[in-house]
Amino acid sequence: MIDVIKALDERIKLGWMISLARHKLVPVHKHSVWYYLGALLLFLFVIQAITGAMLLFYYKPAAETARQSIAEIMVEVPYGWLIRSVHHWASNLMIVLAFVHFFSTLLVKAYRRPRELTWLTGMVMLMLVLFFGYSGYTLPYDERSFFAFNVGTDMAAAVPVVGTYLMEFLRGGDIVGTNTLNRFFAFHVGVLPLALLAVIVVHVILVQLHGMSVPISVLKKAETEKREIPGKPMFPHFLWHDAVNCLLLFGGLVTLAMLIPSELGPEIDLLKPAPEGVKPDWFFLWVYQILKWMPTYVLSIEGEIAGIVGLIGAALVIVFAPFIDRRAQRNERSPLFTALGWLALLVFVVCSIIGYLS
Amino acid sequence: MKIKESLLSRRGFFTGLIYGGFASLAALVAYPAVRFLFHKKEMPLPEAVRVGRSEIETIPPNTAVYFQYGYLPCILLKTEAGELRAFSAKCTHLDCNVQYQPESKKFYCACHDGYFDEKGINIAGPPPSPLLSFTVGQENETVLISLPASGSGEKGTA
Repeated sequence: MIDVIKALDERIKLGWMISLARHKLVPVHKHSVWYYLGALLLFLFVIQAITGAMLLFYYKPAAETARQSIAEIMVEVPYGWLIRSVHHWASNLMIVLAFVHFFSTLLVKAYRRPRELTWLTGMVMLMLVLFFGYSGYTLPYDERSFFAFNVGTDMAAAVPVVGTYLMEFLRGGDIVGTNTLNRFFAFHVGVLPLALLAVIVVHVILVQLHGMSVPISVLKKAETEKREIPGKPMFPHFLWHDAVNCLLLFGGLVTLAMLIPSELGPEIDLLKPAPEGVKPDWFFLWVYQILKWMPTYVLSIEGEIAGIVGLIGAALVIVFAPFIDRRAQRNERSPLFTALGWLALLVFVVCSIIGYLS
Repeated sequence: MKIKESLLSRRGFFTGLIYGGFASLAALVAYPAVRFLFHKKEMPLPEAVRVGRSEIETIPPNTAVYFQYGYLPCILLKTEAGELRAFSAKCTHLDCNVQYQPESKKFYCACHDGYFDEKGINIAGPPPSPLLSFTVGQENETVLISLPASGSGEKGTA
């Protein structure tokens, strides 16, 4: 083993990487716990890539075969239920952790100079992960998928100006059918993984370049106390923590997959009404709930369109927070954006819960 | 630390425990994964294929036609003398489909220039064994093509 490392070092100079990792210090303070999320998300991405590729061995993406092939994975293929359930739960955990990562970064204002680009790549990844989740749960092409397809692609039509084109592009025609399934399959296994991988690479390189961001409050405190913020070496200390976290996450993931395997709904019947209480997956419940509260018309604009435009507006404020939040850019406390961050978190959590219970 | 009577040090013991733990974890992950990936869907071959006499009569002598025996591509030869012989069309070299050449009365595989005679025996080129041959029998007005009791030639596909 040592010989292999030595031989590789002679040829491709591993040394600089190790010394970089050794010299990299991770700041230690009361908010350090949020630094662990990136590695966990990366770990889940790898799990998704592996289990996803495995499911591709048996999944048949066409309207006539999709649901049946998943039934075969669940029943006939040895451990198919386990692989699919791990893929299902890893996707859910990935979305949970992506949101935690997002909100923690927002609230400690890690988007401050010079990390604007890191923040923007993060926002792109959050959207990619959400689209991943959505496209993934349309693939079984069961009843749930069908209504998710209809509602989701129909909502795209509410986007101003390009809405109709966007909807037709997503559907591969006027109505939801096998073309839609093929498109979402292509997104899910071709476009999104490549896009996400590319952005991950940029994001991770940027994080290495800048080091970890330290919250303003911690900086201020260290300043007034005239002391340095202590650090821990990235390698091996922090990586060791990451490894333990990943192992624990993996244990939890497999446990969830074993105890609550993913389901498969009934076949699509075009002539049946939507089932009672049909709802989007949990990560879109907040959107669903907000749109449900919208009146039919807001200032003579259709309620749903007004709601979607409003949500897009709010999202844009968050995406461009680094460029709007001037105070944080000067490393000053910025209570307005702290309040906005908490408000966003509150809206997300409360609307999701109400959407779930209603 | 290692006491005199002990086989290994405390460090050695715990190192082994950790590596053993990782090895067990790896095995626990690998076992379902391997079972999943190597799943094979069983596709049993039919016991026999029936062809109507009238259909057979449309085949001119010294001609072969393709037919399917379950998932297996097969070839039915009517010899000059009117005898019927059925073989798997898959060349025993690398599974390409063979064709019948009436002028030389041989089965020919275009992939690597393999030759089989009218009885399906490999006579030239790379094929290592004869074509899998079927039993051709009669049942009332139909011709019955079935697998011989013990398969010959074909590498375990039937």
